[in-house]
Amino acid sequence: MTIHDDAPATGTPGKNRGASGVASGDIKCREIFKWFGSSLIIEDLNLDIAHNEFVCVVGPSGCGKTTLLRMIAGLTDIDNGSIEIGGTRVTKPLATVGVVFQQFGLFPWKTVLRNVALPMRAAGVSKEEAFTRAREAIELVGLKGSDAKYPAQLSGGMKQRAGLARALAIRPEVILLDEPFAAVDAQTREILQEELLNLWGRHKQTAVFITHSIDEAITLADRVIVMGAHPGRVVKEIPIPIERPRTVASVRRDPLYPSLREEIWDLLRIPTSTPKGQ
Amino acid sequence: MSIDNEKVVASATPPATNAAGRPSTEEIGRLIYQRRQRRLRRQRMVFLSIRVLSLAIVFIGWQIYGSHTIAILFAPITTVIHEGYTLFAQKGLGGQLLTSVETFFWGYVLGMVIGVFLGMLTGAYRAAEAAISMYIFALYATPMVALVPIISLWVGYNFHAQVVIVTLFVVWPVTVTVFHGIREIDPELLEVSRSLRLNRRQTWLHVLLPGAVPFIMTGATQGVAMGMVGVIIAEVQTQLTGIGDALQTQSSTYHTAAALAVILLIMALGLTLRMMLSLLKRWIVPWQREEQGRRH
Repeated sequence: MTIHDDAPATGTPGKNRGASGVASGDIKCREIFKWFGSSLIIEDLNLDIAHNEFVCVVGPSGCGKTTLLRMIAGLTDIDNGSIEIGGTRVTKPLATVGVVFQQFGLFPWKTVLRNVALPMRAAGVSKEEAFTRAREAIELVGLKGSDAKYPAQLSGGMKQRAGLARALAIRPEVILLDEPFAAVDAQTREILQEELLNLWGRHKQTAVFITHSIDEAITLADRVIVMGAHPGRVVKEIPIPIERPRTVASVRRDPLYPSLREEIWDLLRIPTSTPKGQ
Repeated sequence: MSIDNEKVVASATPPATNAAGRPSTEEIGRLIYQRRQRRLRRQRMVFLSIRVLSLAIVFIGWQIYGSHTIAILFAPITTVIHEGYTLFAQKGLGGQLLTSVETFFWGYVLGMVIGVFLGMLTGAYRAAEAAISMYIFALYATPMVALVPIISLWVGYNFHAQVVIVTLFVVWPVTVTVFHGIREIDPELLEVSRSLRLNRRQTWLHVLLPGAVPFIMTGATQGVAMGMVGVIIAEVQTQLTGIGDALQTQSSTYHTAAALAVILLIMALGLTLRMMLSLLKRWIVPWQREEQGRRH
């Protein structure tokens, strides 16, 4: 129990810092409230994520972590407060943000290549360039040779690789991942974690990664945001000072790993206040 | 399809064995593959045999029963086939068939176009649903036969009235199927298209239309069945033409064997249209063909 550092940002300062001093991959969440019907899902949430920082959000079911991600993605309205990405207030999905969905979100009637190229085509990029960049992204995630396949011909792990390629191909400033490895088997999950570490090490961008798994969070993150439920809020922000480059095995071997794991576990175990109306 | 190619390749390679004389991994794989192919072929043979046997039983039963009853009520299958041949050779059944197919074609095409349009409109836009869906469901629930006399009154006792009647039979089931189809498009995919910043036109082109294709094909299949009903009713109830004419003429003059031949022809026509449609479906919906290919 040595790490009790609540300093907000451990990520590298942005090189894309504009005149306003805001980097293109900065995320600022201010006084966020969210209701579903009459129940309060998120209460007064404040969170700063630095440019090129990798943040994992963990928390019990119903703590609103997916809702938070969807609000950052511009897919869910914010009832109160504001979210800014690189100084731009989020009111709809931004062009600088890539999203990786839990259930992959691939179009069954499109080949891998066309799925990955779609957001670029929609943004008006020429067909040749979109396909070239899509092929690069497909190769980057290790799906080379599967360009012409339909999603139904891919395994779960390969589908999520395609989902990742689609999010990366637009060269986003921010990538949002909603429990992306929850729908694949345990071994594939570790392989994908390893590949994501590797990929992110080479092509940095701000990453917000939602997960149920404490191990996954420690493995990937610069900082773990622990959320509590009823209503959802940030309980604690825990920096993960394990050196990069990391591998799944090197993180498990790290002397800091057991204490970090225990700390997060203890935070998740704290009984949260009883849900309102129960 | 691809499986057959693999098979050709596999059997073209000579059997490979390693030093110990044991079959190589490729060889074992090839043997397992061949065994699976043999089992699949056997299953197909069993399926076909049962089908042929069933047809034989029905036709033999038909033949025996038909030979022991009075000709006004029923006829043996051989007589029916003979009568059918006579109708084609001497009574111009071929021409009548073409007339009916033409009526069916125009009514079907019109019904599909209008049905797909109405289904997508009401499925995708709440305002359109609020404005017109109750008429669609009311008409869907109404037997279209009820409208035939009025249509004849409005349009006349002619080809155009027949086409309108076929259209009316086809359009409602297609509309309702496509309407539900649009509603059943995975909401996550609509969310994804929002996240990928697709505009309205792009969402239609890349998500709603392709997503609706399987439902359009289901609607098209239902439309064939309803369209066939429509053609016969239109031809019997308005101007007596085509297969409807043949059926009406033969049965009202107690040429039961000939009437049965016409009915067999209608059945064959319906089956042919269905088969053409499923071929079309394999071609139009390649991502589903791949999916099914994996399951076998």
